[in-house]
Amino acid sequence: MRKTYSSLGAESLNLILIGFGNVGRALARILWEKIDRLRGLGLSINVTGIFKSNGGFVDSNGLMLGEILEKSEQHKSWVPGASPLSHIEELPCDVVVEMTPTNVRNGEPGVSFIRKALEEGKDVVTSNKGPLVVSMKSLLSLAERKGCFLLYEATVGAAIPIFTVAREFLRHDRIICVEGILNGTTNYILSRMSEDKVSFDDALREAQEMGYAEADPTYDVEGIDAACKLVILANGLMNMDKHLSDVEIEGISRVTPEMIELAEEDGYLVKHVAYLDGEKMEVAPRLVPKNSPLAVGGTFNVITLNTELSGPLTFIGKGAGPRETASAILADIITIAKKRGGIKSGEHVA
Amino acid sequence: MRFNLADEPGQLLKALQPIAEFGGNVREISHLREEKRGNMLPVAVTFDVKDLDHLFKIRDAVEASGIQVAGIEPLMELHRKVVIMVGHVFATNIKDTIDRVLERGVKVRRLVARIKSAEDVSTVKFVLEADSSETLESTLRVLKKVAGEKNLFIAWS
Repeated sequence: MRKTYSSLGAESLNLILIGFGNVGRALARILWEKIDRLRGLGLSINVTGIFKSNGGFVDSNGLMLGEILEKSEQHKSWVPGASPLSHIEELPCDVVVEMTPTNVRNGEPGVSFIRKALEEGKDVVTSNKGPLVVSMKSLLSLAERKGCFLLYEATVGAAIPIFTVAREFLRHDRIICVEGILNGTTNYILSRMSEDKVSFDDALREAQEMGYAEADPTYDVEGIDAACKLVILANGLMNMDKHLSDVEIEGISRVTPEMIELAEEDGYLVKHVAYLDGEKMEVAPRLVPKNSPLAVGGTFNVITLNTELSGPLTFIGKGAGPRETASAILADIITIAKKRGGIKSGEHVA
Repeated sequence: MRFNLADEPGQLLKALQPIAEFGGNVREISHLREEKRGNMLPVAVTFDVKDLDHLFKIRDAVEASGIQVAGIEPLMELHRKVVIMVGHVFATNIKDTIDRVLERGVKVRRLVARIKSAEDVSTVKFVLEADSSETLESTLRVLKKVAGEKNLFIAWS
């Protein structure tokens, strides 16, 4: 039997946030800014714990998010060295939001946090690809055994609601193959190379200056980030049990301006395309027709689901960014509240 | 399909009727007046068919209606892929790379190269054509393998 938040409406949905980097802070800010909008939905959210690697903000009556964002570790609720592992049991908590940095080698510390939360019977929302790339199947089956939700919309394409669409609208259909551009940084680099004829190195430097690319850009430009997302898509949309090692990966660091020029002469753009079907998973630079739905520019991501009944469905959106990612997390939280009976379904706030 | 028609009214319609009856979709009709011999006017009709059997069925029907079929030239719809390689494409024996494509029955239609200097990498584009997408796909797999062996960076349409 799944639990319900029977007391919701009058009382609150209690959250614990793990990870307080760009995404965690953006989520706290949105929860703070949108408090009235959420109340209008019948959802009163209380954050009882926010944890970083060196401690946490803890208040079982609910943290003052505005103050914490301003004062950070100077805030009176700060407990140095506090660990989420012990507080998940102790604090009032319905949903654990896991937002620690991605680690594709062993998924830690995210895997341990998610596992602990599920074992304690808490619903989990995560934006962290690492735990899913490493052990998605086992985490999902643990969630199922415990009657808990484990939602991860924010892990792929940030605010693009790809898993929600599949879960809510395509249950009757079959997804045959998926293709898309899953990394905003590489798309920005290739778009700059194409539009302004800059070299790969210059475009990368620019992406770093704009804050799109990390100081160590390997993860993005060598296609590992896109491959991780492809693994999550394979497992989440097509019920597979895939890992990073199943993906054929080719990065974009060897794309030359001449390659882009020669492609354009024949009406193509060079794009870093992720592709997945029943047999093959691949991330590689491809020549995409200029009028293709995949020919999106800038930091945009695009995902096309080719389905048996609905035909091709294409989604375009900002594939990264703290607010976009936090928005997807909040959407998952609302989904859980709704499924648990905490929000009247169909309720709309203008 | 080329017909030799008597140059008088109604002959073309007679030739087209069986094509329409058997579901051939006419694309183009050319009267080849400069090749007219006596009263016989050659006419070329281009139409879509499902396959060769379909084509032969239409030819038999045309001939059965008393029209002389002078020749058939099936035009296969071609499948194309644009492939671009970056690396030491020439130093790693481009002839061998292309031979391994050609031996699979795929045509290399166009080859464009951008070369800076002998030390720099070059960028080479070629357009592949084949009469089936399967042949093209299997050729691409070979090409990816060859590119891997020769440390060439490859992207395709």
